[in-house]
Amino acid sequence: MVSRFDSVVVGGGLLGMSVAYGLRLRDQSVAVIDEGDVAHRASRGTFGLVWAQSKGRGMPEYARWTRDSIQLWPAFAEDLLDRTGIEVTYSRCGGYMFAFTDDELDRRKADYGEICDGIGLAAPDFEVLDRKAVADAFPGIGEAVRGATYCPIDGDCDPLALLRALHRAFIDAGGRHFPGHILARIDDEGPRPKVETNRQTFEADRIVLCAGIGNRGLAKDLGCALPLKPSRGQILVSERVKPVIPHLTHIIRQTREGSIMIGDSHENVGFDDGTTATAMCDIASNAAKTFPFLRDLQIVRAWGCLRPMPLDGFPIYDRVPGHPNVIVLNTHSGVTLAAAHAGPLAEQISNDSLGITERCFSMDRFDVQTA
Amino acid sequence: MFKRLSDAAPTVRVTVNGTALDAPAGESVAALLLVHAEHTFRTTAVSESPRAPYCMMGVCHDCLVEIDGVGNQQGCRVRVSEGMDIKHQSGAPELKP
Amino acid sequence: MTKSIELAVIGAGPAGLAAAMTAYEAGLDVTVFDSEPAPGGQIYKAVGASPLADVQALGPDYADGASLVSAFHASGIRHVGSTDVWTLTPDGEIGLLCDGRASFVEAQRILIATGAQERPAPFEGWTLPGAMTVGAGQVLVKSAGVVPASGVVLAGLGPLMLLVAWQYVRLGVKVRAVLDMTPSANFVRAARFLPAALTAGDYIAKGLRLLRDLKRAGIPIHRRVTRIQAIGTDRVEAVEFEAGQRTRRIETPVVLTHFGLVPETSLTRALGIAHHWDGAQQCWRPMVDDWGRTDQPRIQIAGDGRGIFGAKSAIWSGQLAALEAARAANKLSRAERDAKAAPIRDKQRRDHRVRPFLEALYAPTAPDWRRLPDAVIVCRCEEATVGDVRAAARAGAIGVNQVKVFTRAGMGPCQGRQCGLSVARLMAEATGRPIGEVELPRSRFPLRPIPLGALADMEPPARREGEP
Repeated sequence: MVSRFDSVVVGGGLLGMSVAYGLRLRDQSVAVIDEGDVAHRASRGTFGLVWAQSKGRGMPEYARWTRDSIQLWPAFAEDLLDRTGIEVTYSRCGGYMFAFTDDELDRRKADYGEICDGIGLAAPDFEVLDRKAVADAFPGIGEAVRGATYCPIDGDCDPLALLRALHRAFIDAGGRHFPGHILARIDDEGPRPKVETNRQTFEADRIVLCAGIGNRGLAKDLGCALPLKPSRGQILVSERVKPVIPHLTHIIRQTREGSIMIGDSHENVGFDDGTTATAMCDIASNAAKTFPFLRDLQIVRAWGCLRPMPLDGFPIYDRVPGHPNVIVLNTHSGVTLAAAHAGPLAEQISNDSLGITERCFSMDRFDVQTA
Repeated sequence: MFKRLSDAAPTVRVTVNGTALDAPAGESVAALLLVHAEHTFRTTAVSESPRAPYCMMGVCHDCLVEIDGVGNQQGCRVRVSEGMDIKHQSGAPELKP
Repeated sequence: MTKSIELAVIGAGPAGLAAAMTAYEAGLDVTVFDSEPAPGGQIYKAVGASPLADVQALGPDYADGASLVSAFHASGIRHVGSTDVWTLTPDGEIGLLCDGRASFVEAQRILIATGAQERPAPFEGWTLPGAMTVGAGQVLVKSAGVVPASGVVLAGLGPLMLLVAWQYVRLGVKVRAVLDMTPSANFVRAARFLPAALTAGDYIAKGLRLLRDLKRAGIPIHRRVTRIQAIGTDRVEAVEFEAGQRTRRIETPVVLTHFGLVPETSLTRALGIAHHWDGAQQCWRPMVDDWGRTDQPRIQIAGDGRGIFGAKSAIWSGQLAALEAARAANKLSRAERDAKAAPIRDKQRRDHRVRPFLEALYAPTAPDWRRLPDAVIVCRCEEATVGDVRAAARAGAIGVNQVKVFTRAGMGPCQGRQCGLSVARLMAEATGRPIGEVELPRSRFPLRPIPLGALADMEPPARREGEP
């Protein structure tokens, strides 16, 4: 059985659904092929941060792209609410990142200053807070915390609600979702690119690979060594407690239900093959240093998640070399960039202008060997 | 709701919601509260509904009380000790920064 | 603790204790890890140290446990009590939590003997203070000499319910009624297994004696009860029940329910051991061979954690698993192992003849999941309801793990132990599939809530070996 679409999106996680939704809004007929089920696993590994701070060092375009997405987020969240009734609870409350040494704080000040200059901001959109300011904002902060950087445009949302809303909005707008399909082959030799799964064949004008870490295997079959590695991250989740973390921070976050999520950040340590116990110990140790009153907090769940990490940390939005109708998309910031993915990125894909004028997110910047 | 069949055991002094009580040494906090205190151990975090022990074997987590200032302690798994301070829990426990 | 243990036994009920003693006799270095302060597990809880003046009131089976426990004490085998296992790595590193402190020990072989839990069975009002399990009643009697003060109603089905009613009568507790929810059809289905069951020992005779004693004591036993509801505003005040065409109400401050036992599989699922749905026992069971071996080389399972077969069988399964562990550690030859095992297997085979009868008679086809109102809570921790689960199914969730994402059922401190089975039942119902096809709920480490401070202060195993 063969089904015809303008675009076939491979992968129904946050990235795939944002792009698929955006393409559908632009009148593309879209099929999303997905191995898994309705509630996708990728979303579990994220805090749901919609975050600008610290992003884009070494690539101003990424800092700009991040801020563009954040600008689009309020209307994006509102649109999803209107269409689906699902509230993704986006909140631009401002975010804090703590520093444990004065050196760290100075370094960050310099780095962020560089980022802001790089994108031509009139004034830096972050503040450096000394210990006193941090202690005022966070009663009970640990002695080890020397200060923090604060960015007023940082915020968060409910990533599981976001995925559900994107899925619902996509379906309601006439998008087609095919769960339980495993990709067997991409055949773009003939005039009509085809995607063959274990259950049927799809024909499309373009194929958009959004399978996260799975993109490596898909690209390899097309002769491309995708510069991507799995980056394992762990999250600890506690029992519900009364509100005690008054503001948003990048590794400790209290949800509306009261449970506290404690995570790693890529800046900390590479958790490659570390045992789960080692990772849990590191995360817990950092959290206890930051907020010693959390020591009595009961952790009820912990999980690791393989995040797809482009080798330099910046997104890959490109066509597969030698396969102009196959687009590969990877980023580890699927939540922050969701608005941009459903907006300007989907726009570029739908009018075939991806990577034409802007090459910053292409694979050119790596030394991509053909596989 | 419940009663002890015999009061012969040696006791320790504890406080339950501010009231001093003699509790048989080695008894679980949950058993003590079922015998002495009101029927409700806590109210839930989600809807403030009253709860008391259900399974008494450490599985259900419904017997949660505050013990010596720390919340969410399973009453069925903690034994009374001299000077212990036991309190009912209202909603989610409170951490003290 | 840097020494590696030859055999770590997790759980100190009949299976764990018997296994430890057999392994020790065969020359293995054994340690028993126990979340309780003293050995005996649930069934022999506090035996030997019971606050009850008259332990005989609990019946001969409980008293039998005393000799098992004293033999264990006499053996000198290391018993690490009041200690929870919160994680277990594929390399045999066991994460322990005791007194708020986390540590690790390494074991070459592990025998999981963590036993069973009560089958969770939601009904209207089951979260009210005063509504507890029959097992909870047993714990209170055995370990604290505490009984219902002004009457109790017992409801459900299974031998344990009858046993506790009988124990209460002997202790002078006012049993207001026993509401037997054994469906009539079960009697018919079980009848053909009765001849075999009668050759298995005195189970049937014992059961009949219990019933006779209850009748003689004038305890009202209502049969073929199809629905129960606990009534009250902020505590149980009465139980309403339907039997036949009649609805009746009995006032009581305490209602204890029992719907059978199921293996407590949080550890075996977290390890990724294969499980299958057992239609006769109506539960998931880890897949083991007749030595208790699993699909993971270091790990064996014994006792009710492998499937519900009763205390005697638990002891024998512990002994058999230990014999195999001893053979694997070259303490016994294959021939020696088999010679010792043969008489044990004979006894076990005979004893198991009662199981098909009991399983058929007490198959929990009640409560009727289709009739459960939407408002009934199914996840006690997060207060997700039957209606929430049905809505998740309509929204496209196809299994227990997706339902968790939609409703938060299973995300609370009990980590899905009280709701996993129920959610699976509801999902089977809602999606029109047999429950055996509903996916297993996922279980993860930590196996129980662990304080952040304990995690922060611990020395993880990799670091101990000098790795960065």
